[in-house]
Amino acid sequence: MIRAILKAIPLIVFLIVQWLGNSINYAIGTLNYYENDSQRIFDIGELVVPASNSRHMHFLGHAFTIVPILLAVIMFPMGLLWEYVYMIVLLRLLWFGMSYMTVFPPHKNHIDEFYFSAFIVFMLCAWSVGWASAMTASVVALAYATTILSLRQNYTSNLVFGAVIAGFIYALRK
Amino acid sequence: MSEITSRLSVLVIVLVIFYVISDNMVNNDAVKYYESRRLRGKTRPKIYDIGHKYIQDLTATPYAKYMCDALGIMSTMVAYFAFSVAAFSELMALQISIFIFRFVTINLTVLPPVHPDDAQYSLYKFFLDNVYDHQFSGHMAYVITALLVVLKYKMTWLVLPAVIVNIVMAVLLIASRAHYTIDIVMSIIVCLFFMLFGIKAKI
Repeated sequence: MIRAILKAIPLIVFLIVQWLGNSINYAIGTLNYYENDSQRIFDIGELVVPASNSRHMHFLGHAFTIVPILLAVIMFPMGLLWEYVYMIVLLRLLWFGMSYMTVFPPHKNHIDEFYFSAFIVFMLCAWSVGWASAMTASVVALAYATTILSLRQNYTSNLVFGAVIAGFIYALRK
Repeated sequence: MSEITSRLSVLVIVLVIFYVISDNMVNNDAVKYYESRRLRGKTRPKIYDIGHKYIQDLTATPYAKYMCDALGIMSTMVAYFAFSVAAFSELMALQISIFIFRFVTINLTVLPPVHPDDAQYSLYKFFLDNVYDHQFSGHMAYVITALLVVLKYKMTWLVLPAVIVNIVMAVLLIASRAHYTIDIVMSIIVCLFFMLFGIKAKI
């Protein structure tokens, strides 16, 4: 009896969590795709972050992409640099497969948030050698994510999954 | 300086090769797909998906969807009766944390349902048959976490059935058009990520 109750409590908690998330999601989906007959993909980042197509923003986006690679090449010790390259190649292979599976509109390969993942890998490497605290890494990553969202280059969930995949690759290497 | 140059060139060459190959392949298909939709005057968003392209659409019959639900419930029931309290608690702790994460991710970017008719509101769908909870697959998370716990607790007699259930579930989810291929893959990665880092609720 006790065994049955011990097992039932977490099961009930789990079902409540699952249903709550689903019902909110259903409400958002219905409002977006049925009520409004929207042509766009609903994305919370597009609601929260204002769009910008300015040169400065594009420059910032490119800087976030290129600077970590340059910093890694110049500053990482040789062993870490090769590990970094290895992880980047793994990431690219994984993203290649994934971006070919489901392609979000418009024409760009929107699922392919490789650069953000590569950036997170860089921050994890920098954190592992003590060059960046977890807080600094999080703030910089958030700034990069906001830049991507502002430029409308990708969807919010892809950025979150990009971070998860980067963490996953990093954990595999460890 | 020359060392840095050589290191930089290796990195750049590797990245460029991967980028050019993958980007071209993906973009060619995407442009063909979305451009043809634009020319045909289609307005509703539709997502290109490789699984939907190659796996037969079984939405005409509801059995594929019911099978997915049945497999999910069955795996939890098997776990409930066959797992020890410790193993079942671990499974639930893992699933609670994964589903809290999913609670967030399904609402970040909401992809459209595969069939436009599914977009119509119904109370039944609100409670039991959501068509918008795509990224990532909860059904897949059920069975993947069960498999991971089976492996962790070395329940060897359950490994093969769990692997088969995982494969069948993945195919059926795509065949029933309940999920896009990426949802299935992301579900696997997220579950592995949570397991690797030991992120789970305290029970």
